[in-house]
Amino acid sequence: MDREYEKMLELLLRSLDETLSPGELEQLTEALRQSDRLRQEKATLLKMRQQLAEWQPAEDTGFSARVMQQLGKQAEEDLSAVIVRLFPRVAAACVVVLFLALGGIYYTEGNLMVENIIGVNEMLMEDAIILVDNGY
Amino acid sequence: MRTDTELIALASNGDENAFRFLVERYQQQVRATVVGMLGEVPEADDVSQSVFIRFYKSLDKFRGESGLGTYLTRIAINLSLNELKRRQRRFQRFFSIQKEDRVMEIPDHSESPERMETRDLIGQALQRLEPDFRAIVVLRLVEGYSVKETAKMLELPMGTVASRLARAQRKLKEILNNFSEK
Repeated sequence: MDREYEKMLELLLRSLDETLSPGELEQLTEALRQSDRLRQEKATLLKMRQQLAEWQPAEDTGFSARVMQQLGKQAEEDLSAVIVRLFPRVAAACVVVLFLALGGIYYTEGNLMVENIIGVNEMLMEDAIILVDNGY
Repeated sequence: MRTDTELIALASNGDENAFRFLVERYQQQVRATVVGMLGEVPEADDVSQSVFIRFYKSLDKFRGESGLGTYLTRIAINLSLNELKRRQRRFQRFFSIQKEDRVMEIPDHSESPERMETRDLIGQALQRLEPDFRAIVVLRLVEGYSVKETAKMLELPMGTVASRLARAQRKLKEILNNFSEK
């Protein structure tokens, strides 16, 4: 008896979420017609499913504001992360450019004296005085 | 009223208000999934926020193959399951440090069910299900997705979802009966 009831209960549960075959449906209908217990079980299950379908957490009016605030914070963090991530590459590129420039100076001037690097050796003293007088 | 697609397009172009509308439109659905999975705990708020932040970051990748609600629910369920795994790891670490055979004390609010609203009872009953079963109940019975959609979201065979759903309902009924008997 209990085994038969268990079988019908399984069918009942399946019927709530999937389509039973015509044979199974007929079996279940007959069992429901005959068994008070099964009818009660069905009513309880339907009530529980109704309660679950209606279940919602308590409303949270400040939620969207918190999300937007969090997004702003994330954007700042993302920017910092980009800077931190790019820094080694930018630094490496600068070092390469610096070495290329120094290499170029050495190639043309034959040495790496400060005057050659900053380019003042090509300037006459008079030109330098004129530039200083004109406020450059 | 603007459609989701229109709001997504505006949000992709940097319109924050459009994104805020989307958050307001789907926050209850996302929170129901996350709170259903994690309970009314502070982490539930963090996870719900993370769902929208993750969505914001992938706005350009959203193809609209599924509805936005489904897309967000999928993110919500995955992040909730990850959070539950993290929670489990934390508990395990805690107990390995303690090295004592003590029974884990979880506050039992079921002592006075007459004071509880149905919402709280259902929320607590959900928390007593195993996470795999809970995810199915939340998607199928709370959010109302079909067995097929639930199976797709959880990447499980439909038969597994159907059988777990049947077991979960029996268990839930038992839990709710216990609540009302106390």
